[in-house]
Amino acid sequence: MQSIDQKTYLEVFEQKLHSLRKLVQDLRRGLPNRTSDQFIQGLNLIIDAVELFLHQRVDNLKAALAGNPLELAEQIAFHSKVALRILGALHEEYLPLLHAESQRNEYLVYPSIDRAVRLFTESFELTLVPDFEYNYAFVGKENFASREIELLEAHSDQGTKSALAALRGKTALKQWITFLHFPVADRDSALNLCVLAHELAHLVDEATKIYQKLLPIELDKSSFDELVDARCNTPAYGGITASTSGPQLTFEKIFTKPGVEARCYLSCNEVLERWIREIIADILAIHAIGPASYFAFNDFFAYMGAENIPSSSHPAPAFRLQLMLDELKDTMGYMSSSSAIDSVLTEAMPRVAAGANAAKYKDEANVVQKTIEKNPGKNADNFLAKIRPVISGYSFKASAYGQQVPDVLRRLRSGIAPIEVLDSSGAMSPASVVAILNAGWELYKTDIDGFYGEFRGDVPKMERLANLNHLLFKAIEASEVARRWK
Amino acid sequence: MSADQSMPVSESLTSAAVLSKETLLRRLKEDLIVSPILEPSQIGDGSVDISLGTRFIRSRRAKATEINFRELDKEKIRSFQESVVVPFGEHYILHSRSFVLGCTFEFIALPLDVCGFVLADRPMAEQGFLSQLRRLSTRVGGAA
Repeated sequence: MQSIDQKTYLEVFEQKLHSLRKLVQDLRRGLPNRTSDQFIQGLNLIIDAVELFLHQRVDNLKAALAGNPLELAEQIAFHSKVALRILGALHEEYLPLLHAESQRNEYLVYPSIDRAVRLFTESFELTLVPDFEYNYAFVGKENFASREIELLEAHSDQGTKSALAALRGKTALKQWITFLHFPVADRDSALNLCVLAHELAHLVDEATKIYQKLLPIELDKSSFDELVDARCNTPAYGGITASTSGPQLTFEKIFTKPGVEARCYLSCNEVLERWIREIIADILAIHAIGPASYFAFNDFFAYMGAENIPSSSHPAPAFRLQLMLDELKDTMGYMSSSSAIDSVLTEAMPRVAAGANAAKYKDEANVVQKTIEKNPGKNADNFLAKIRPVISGYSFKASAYGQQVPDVLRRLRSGIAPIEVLDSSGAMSPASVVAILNAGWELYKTDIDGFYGEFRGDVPKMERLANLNHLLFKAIEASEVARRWK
Repeated sequence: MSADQSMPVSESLTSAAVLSKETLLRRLKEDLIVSPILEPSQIGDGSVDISLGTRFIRSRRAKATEINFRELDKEKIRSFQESVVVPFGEHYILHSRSFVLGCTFEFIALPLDVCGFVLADRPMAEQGFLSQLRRLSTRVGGAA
């Protein structure tokens, strides 16, 4: 029984198609020039493909079922529903990204981010997406429109397939269409936005496939066996044990031990891959922007009120902070002097180590943690050693910090946007973005009261901090312009 | 721009002099901040050419039916203003009979013995361009 007139579906499809195209157009008008161009082109291409798919199908059906109007109506309705669901998914999944993009920070940090990513890959488009969920995230779509259209092709007849393939070949889009989500509450904080370096590192990892060089890793045997035993003896609830009498049904009885082992192996490796990717991004980010990345994460975890426990997607916060500090100390040369920044980092070491030791692990997390702890020892073949070469040319080591940050910090401390600094030849040259961010964090962590003391009048504390962030944003924007101009 | 480094500030004000190009170049490396300088030609005798920044504040007329100047405070002013960002190198089109607040692209901070004016060049001034220095509540400099 059909409660909806079959002809309605095709009509509704036309309406939805029209409104979707109009929405994309309207959202595009609200964006700065050249923003999300490739993404919008891809969206339009997918919408065209859905239209082409349905129209071709309808034409074919009309030819094939001319003598059977009832079957024809039913088939058209069926295919219209498929197309409507695809349009619905586009509406739900992609348009909010475009809408959010129009809300991004007014300072133009994008050019600096773009330049950083170009060191690793050229074929990408990056869109910054302010989000109301307090989280930073990276979403990368490789061959975005092509993949979606190929899905349609897989469900098409020969004629439609070639028409879709021709449409797909009409526009060459960048290989990576990527979105960096950040909390809208952080849009005016250059200090907090340093977490974006970690998300950008995910893009670098995706583009250069570092994670593939690290995986597979052999799971820690003893903790894995413990997990398998525990799972085998786990009572199977959830409707499976309807009977109250008789022996308790366990996973082993249902799936057999090899079956349970196979499931545990899969789930552990899923968690392991996610954690490894997070660690790769953490290590790349700490090399790329130095202590600023550690400080930003420290505050981010605090802001989130994050418990020191791992999840299926991320290692425990304290363990991640410890890895960052260890990398700063052992590989990048920090914490070897009595400078203000080294003192702050050195002071953090025991606290973070205690947090990392206190983190509780169970089930898959326990196996993965043990597997990782076994690997990042001091031997040169560990997986951290495979990550470092990717970033070694751009690592912001302690020596670079010592050369670049003090001049920038001096200006910042006096309330001056550190756009340019005197270089070794005695000329003014643009300050590096990494030095600007680190100077901001050093000031914040070591002498923020001194900075607040520069203000006259009754300016609230948070307004003073906002001023520091304004100075940092201004310096990032203007130094980037100066760099490109020269 | 004028200054006399050898005298206390109060005395130097009475014997002020326009900074030569040479002095400007030297002071820009020391304590006078006009940054960034994109082209050397921006610096002349007694002047530094500066440009409009990327941020503008414009009024949303549809948000205010009337303005009562006696009751006007910061919050009320902001309620009918909006911020616009124009990426560097792109255009902001200011239509006739409209008003927009802009700021300089350069960050400006002057040492105590230097004073200066932000002036519109003649063609812009003839079109009604006004410039005004904004005093901030901090030592943080900047022209608005």
